[in-house]
Amino acid sequence: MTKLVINNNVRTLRFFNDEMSQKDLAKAVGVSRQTIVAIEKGQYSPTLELCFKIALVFNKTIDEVFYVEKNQIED
Amino acid sequence: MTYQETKSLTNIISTIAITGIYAIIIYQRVLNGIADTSDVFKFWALTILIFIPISIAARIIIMIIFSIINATVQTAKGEEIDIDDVVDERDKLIELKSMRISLIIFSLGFIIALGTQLIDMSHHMFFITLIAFGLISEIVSDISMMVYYRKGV
Repeated sequence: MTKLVINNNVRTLRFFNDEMSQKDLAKAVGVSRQTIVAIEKGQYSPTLELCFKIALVFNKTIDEVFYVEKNQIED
Repeated sequence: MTYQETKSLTNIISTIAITGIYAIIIYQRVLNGIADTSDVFKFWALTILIFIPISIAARIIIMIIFSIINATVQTAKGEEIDIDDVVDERDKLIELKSMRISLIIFSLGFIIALGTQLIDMSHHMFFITLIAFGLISEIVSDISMMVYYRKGV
């Protein structure tokens, strides 16, 4: 089965949002700060609902926040 | 170490400590002839039924102490007190995965416990095997939680 490696721009988007802290983002989307840390490190792929919440915080679409690099598709 | 990892580690230590201390007390009572072991099922029913509330109360006390120590250490380090007690989707996923591992181990223990009766071992061995695997499954569950929190899910 093909496993997708999902990357994200959360760290960058936080930076361009007045250096929004992980804690503030976590509070805004209703998760723990550790979950935001895990998402940024690529250790956790969030659910579609959480992806939407994060995208809405930054006023972006999901594909502007989360993406799959073609060379990172694992078998 | 994150709050969740420390919490899992505390759970492991408290599980071993509570079960260990209770096991020693029961063993001493049996050796001294205080506990009546003639009726195997009554003895184990009593032992387990007393253990459940003691275990719950001890865990609550340990978790309160853990939170106080955690907050004190963070304050001493000059950090903002960060008790991540929000249970989100990642926590639930990790809990589900570790619970699955725990259930597999306990089921294996149950089969082995039944096996002890097939080879004519004492009824005590049945309950000891069940409790031992219950303990192992809980410890492995907490270890797997720590691994999932550290390595990711």
